[in-house]
Amino acid sequence: MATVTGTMMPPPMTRVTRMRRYLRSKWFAYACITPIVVATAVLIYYPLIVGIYYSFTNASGTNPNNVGIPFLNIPSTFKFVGLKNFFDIFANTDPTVDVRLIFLQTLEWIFFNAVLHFSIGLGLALLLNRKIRFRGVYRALLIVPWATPQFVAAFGWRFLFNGDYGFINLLLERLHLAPIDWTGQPSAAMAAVIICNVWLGIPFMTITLLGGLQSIPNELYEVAELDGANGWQRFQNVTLPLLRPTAVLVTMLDVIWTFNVFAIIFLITGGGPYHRSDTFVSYAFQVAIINQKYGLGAAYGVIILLILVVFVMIYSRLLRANEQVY
Amino acid sequence: MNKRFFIAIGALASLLVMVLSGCGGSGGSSGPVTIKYWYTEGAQEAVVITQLISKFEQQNPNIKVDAQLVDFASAHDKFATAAQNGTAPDVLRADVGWNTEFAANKYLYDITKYVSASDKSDYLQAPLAYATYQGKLYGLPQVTDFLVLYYNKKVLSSAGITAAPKTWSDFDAANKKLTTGGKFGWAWEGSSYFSQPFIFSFGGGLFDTSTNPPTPIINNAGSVAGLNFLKQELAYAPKIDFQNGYTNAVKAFQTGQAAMLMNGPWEYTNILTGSAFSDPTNLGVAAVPMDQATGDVARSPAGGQNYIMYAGTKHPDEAYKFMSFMSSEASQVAIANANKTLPTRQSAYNDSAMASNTAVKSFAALLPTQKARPVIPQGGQIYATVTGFDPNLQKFLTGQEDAQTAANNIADGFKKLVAGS
Repeated sequence: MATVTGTMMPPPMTRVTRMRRYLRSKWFAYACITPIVVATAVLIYYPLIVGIYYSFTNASGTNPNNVGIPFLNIPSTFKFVGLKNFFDIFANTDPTVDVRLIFLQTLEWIFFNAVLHFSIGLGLALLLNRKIRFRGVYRALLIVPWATPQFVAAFGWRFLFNGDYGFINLLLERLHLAPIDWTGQPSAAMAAVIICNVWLGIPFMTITLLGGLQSIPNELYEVAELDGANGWQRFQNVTLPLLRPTAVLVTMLDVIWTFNVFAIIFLITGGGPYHRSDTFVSYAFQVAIINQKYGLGAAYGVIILLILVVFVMIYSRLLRANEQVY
Repeated sequence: MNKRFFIAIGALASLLVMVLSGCGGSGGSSGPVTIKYWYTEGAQEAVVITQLISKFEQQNPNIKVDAQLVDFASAHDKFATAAQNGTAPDVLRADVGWNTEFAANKYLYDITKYVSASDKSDYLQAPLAYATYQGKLYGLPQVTDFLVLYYNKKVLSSAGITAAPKTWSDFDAANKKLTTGGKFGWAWEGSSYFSQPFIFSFGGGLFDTSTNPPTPIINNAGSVAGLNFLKQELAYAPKIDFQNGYTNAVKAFQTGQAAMLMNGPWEYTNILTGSAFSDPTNLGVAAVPMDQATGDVARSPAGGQNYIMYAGTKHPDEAYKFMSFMSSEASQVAIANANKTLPTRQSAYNDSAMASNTAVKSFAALLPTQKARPVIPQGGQIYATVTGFDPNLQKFLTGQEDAQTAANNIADGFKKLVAGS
């Protein structure tokens, strides 16, 4: 019989002991993230999955899913309808609304907001980047719109835009100009909501761009000046290229936020007149909550989600590209 | 270890608190029962409601009423959503149009067993019909209403108009005289509900409910004539702001900017707070004018509010006790005297405490002009954007569509609504 000599080998680690060891060293980390994992699962992932499921059904206010009153024993009567909701949206079958117009209005909404946010924000940032008196005061004042909750700002602007009693129209009348039909003219309604959102978005843009401007080393300007570059040339060849990474990122972020704005449109124009100031986001609310077409509304939600996924993919790619620069 | 352990316990405990508070454990067999109630009155109107609630709580120490003011415009959607996820209030003050819809969706508690025959016979027929669905009672009528023509007596008489316009041609003539020097003949709220007096008085309507499913008649000759007349008369009203139309119209009338207004009894006390009516006798109340050719038909949309009970309530007995208190003769009289709105009980009109309530008397005299809205499960959605009623009306008023096209489009929306697609 062969004898085993030498030192005893430690018993091979079983999966359980390995797990136990792992947990002993890492349990605290898991305990710390448990609340947030549970909270996101309950508050984000569960509704998300249910929402995607609803988008394939004809759930509506008349075939309710009585989840809250199960003891009444009312069976849910909504059915799985496959891609019908998506077909209805893309085929534009609803006679009360033109989905193509809503799509165009969404683009219009994003475009004007992004352009105006950026140009006004950059202008203000350039002003504030100079050594002027009371610079600190201006910067502090600039934060005010940003610190205002969206719906408060929207109500404020709604008063200003009131056709008969609003400040803007009263001012126009004083100046002997024609008052503007803010809620009756499609283009004026669109302008109204854009003006409010531009006002709200400028501070973030200015502050971020100001940060970008201040990170540009002063020596570059001095060198450019030595080379005989004038103000415009310095702006074009030093400021703009070095500001580009910040500018692109912040614009992308702005596009995402603007796309998601709901309160401003809903409160100022309600999407009207006849849906001409609606975007996908504000219209989806009307479909799902006001018209109680939960299935169709969820389909709009899924489309919005897909658009956002594309935006976020672009954004994260930009973010990665930026990291390589620095 | 100890310190970390306690941090972890703390984190888990806070999570537990979060989850539990979200679920909101109600119930508990002992102690007072809490009834959740959503009321939708305007600020002026709500004062008497809160007074009645505290009176109820004094009389019933075992029942607490957790009353919340919910904006009328959003109450329908809020209740519909809450009813499905189980968080709806035990009792809601609902528009009569919603009552049938909620009942058809089985959101409501059938209160038939609670209401005695004699009690039932005290209610006026029309309001009670709105609370009834498939022979069962799903609500107790609180107030009934319809639109009347309010007018500024002083302004009319100084323009040489001695009586409130009886016909639309009188109305048109009055508008021509009154619209001068920055003042307007009348003010209009700018939404579908308020277009109904025009549609109805020229022989039009919303639905013909004698057929199954109901047939839209919003595009018949009478409705279109009414819409055209409405647009013609808007030349004598301030420009409509579709988003703020209701408040702007009331304000124009309150301040004397406009001399006439079509609105309901619910706005009476609020109108009297306006500068033009510091002398309350200056406010005149008349019937919605009629079209001479069509005659004195029922032409003013009947509305009103009911107390309804959520099907998921845990305390139906207590909730009904509260509902019946709020719609008792005494409460109805108190509300009518405070808000000048119309009670739904015959006995309330005969109550001695109502003897000096001239406003309610003048409204009650106009009750025959009241035209019932279609009592259909989709009733609450008729004026929502789903039918395209308001969007098409706006297109018509801003000149994008003629009246017939707009009306045809609305009729299509109505057809889809009753078909449930």
